[in-house]
Amino acid sequence: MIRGLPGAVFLALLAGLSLAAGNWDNRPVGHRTFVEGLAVDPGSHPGQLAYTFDLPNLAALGGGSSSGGGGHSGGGGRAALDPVIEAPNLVQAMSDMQRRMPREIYFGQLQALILAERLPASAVEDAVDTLMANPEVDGTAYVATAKDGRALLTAPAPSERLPSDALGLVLSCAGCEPLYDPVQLWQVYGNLRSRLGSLVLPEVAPGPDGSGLAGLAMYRGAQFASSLEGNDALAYGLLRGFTRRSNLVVPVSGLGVATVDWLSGHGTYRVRAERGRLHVDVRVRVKGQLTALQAAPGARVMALALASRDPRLLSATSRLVLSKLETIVRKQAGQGVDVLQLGAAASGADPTAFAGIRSWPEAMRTAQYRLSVNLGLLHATPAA
Amino acid sequence: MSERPRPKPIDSKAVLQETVSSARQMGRQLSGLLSDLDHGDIGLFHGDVAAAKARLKAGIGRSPDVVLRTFTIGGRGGCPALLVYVQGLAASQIVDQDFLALAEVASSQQMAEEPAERAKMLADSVAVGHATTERKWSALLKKAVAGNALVFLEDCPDVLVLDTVQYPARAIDRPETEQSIRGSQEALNEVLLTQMNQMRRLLQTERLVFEPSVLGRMTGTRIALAYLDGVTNPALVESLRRRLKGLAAEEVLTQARVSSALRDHPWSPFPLTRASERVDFVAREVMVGRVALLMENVPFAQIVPATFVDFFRTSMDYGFSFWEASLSRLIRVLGFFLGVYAPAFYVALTTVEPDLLPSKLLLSVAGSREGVPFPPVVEVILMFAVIELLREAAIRLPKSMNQTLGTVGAIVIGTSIVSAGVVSDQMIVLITLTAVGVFTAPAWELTTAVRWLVWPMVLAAYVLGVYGMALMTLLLIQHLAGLSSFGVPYLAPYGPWRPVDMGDAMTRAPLRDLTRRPMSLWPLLSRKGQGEPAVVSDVPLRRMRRRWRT
Repeated sequence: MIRGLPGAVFLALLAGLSLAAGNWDNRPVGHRTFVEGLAVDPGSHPGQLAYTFDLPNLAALGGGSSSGGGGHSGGGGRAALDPVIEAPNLVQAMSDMQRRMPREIYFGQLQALILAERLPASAVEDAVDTLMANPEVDGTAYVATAKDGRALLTAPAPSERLPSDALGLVLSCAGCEPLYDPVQLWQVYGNLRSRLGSLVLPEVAPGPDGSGLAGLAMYRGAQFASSLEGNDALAYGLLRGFTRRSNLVVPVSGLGVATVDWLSGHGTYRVRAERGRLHVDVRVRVKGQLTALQAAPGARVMALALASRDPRLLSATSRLVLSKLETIVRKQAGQGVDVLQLGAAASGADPTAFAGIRSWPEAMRTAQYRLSVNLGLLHATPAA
Repeated sequence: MSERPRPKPIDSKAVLQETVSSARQMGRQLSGLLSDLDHGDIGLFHGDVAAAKARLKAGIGRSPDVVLRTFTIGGRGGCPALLVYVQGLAASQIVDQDFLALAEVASSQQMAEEPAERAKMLADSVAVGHATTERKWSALLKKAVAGNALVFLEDCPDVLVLDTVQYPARAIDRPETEQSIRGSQEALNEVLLTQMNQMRRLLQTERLVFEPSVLGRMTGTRIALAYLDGVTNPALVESLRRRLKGLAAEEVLTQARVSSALRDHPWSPFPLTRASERVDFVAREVMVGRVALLMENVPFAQIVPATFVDFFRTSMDYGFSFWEASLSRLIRVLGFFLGVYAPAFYVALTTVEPDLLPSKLLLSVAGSREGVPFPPVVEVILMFAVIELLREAAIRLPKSMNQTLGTVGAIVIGTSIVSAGVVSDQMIVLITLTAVGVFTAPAWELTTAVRWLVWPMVLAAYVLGVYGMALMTLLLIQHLAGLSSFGVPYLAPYGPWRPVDMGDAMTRAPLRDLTRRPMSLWPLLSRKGQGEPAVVSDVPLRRMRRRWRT
């Protein structure tokens, strides 16, 4: 063995690895403008889209001290700049934006992508595809729907410095919200690419104390179809298994009005294809805790422990959940929305059995659904 | 045109006086040399006290602290003698005592009987202290300047050497650089004998051996190798001896001079010998099979071999429960990594890969850097320079000024430099964390390595970001894995993996479970409390010798 050869090989390897780094074009933090949020709305002219960029004003943020009130003054001016660019697509908007900024706009810190309800499918696909094609974007930004994306990004966020920070918090904190399954950019991208099941995005609305979740937005492909709010959204959450800490007020004949809290559930379903028609058997297991029972006039007051096992209460609660579920499933199926994510289930379970189905929207419209709810109730212990 | 200064006139009288003085001195020296030459060898004393005095007076006797005194031993008609000692180094009280003893034991008749045996007879008669005889002038002069008293006797070729050495010594103090909350508060001092006594007090075993040696042709620095006979591997001691023998230096005044000769890898920034001023720590290391090198004038012992994890150990670790000890060690390790990586991470994440930072932190960093004219890498360099300046000043300044320096460092520099917009406020936090991390290392030598390592790491981070840091870390691991201290792999017990030594590495097992000496030291008694040393066959000894290469 030649003396010193291992050292030379090691150095050559090191030099090769150094050259293969691929980060030579990265810029320091002071040379970048960070895009924290991006909202896509319909433009003022046909064929145009309005892109709102949520950019932190670093001079105003200064030293990390909280300025409060998103988008408002932090001592050195507004904490956030929200320029709006009208362009036919995101690439053009980014290019126009870059021309207006002295620093390189950088999407690596994107927190939230807000898609307006009224967007055409092509605009949704363009935004998602363009962002995912950008090497700076790692795909972990949260995606949500809003009636007005721009209003959301410029709404006050009293607890955070930037509206996008507040949105990021709302959209990422699954355990904080009673009903929400976080959806990230890479998931949307995958969903749009695979066409397996419909896209369900959280719907966000601005409020006086900051933005909050308003419901769920159902998509047919990349096209917004409808919204689910209130108990409809709750029932859908029970079916899909992302309901946490929700409650339901159930009127029970002969008993009174019961409040069932800490609702959670999970749905399982079987899909069969027979003579080109789908047969869907859905079973939802629901758990909850009976926390209050307001007795009906004239009815005797019943202890919670007893009431939680009362067949009337169990039946009324199950029926309520079931009726909501049936409404959702039939309504969405009627619109061609794969609300049960049957496409994904079919592709995973037995792809060949479903190969004959040519049109999924048609198959869902004509499918035969059978839904059942299995409810188990605990009861709250009265405080001593 | 300026006038050239006129040369001063030569003072011929002064020149003449100086010449005469030199000639007299030379004459005295020559007469002494000639006297010895008459007897055949000028390197030996031949019993001519007057000639010896002349020779000494022309040599070391020129110094005012050297006392040359002629007298007679054995009363009237006794033996003429010359007493030589260095005032201050030789204890005058001991000199007086020894002389009284000499005067009492020696009668004129005894002194006249066998002149050549006078010195030996006197040496045997003096009961107190050490009394030896010597003939060689070179050895005699060395002994005189070491603090011994020399007694030259007429017609006796042997010179009586009385051990009257008493160095001025500092009292035993508390350790300054290795403080301990609980445990012994005793540090070594500068006197080798005291150091040995301190060690002996803690290790009251007949196995403890001090092997003396002298280093430095001019300085004659006395050292001693302390080890446990029958426990420490003899090949290690042999290797140490050989390396010390190879240290052909004129002066050996500092420990660094010795440790440079002991290092396997002289160019590595990492320390390969551990210095400690704590007696209990040194004693413990000797107990486990290491060798401590004690040195005159240096209140620190050098412990060899030393591995990377050894530099995270303190004596305090053995005074607490294993939970406390393990946590402390892990914190020190964390401090080491913080010191090496924190500035580099800052540079990498702000210069090359901002996308790796959480959004809120990134905005804070970017916001705090608004208006700062320098790039992050220059900020780091500036602040490190400030820390190094403060550190250097803290060492130089008297203790009473330390508080002032702290105020200057923390308030004046720390606050003002941010207000002036030279660096960002987060840089102050980072550099403070780094400095705290660096100086948590219990061994000062390790902090030097960290302070050097920071620069290539920052450079790699600046050029290639976190990827560059990963490459630099590879290089660092490669370097560390290639190091050894007296043949013991530097990364032991992690590389090579030695599970039996894990009990006392980055964490510490309960003391009752620490029953084995480190395997990497190849001790003759691997288990503590074992009786006689294991019989070591030739094969493992040869292997050990090869490992502890010189």
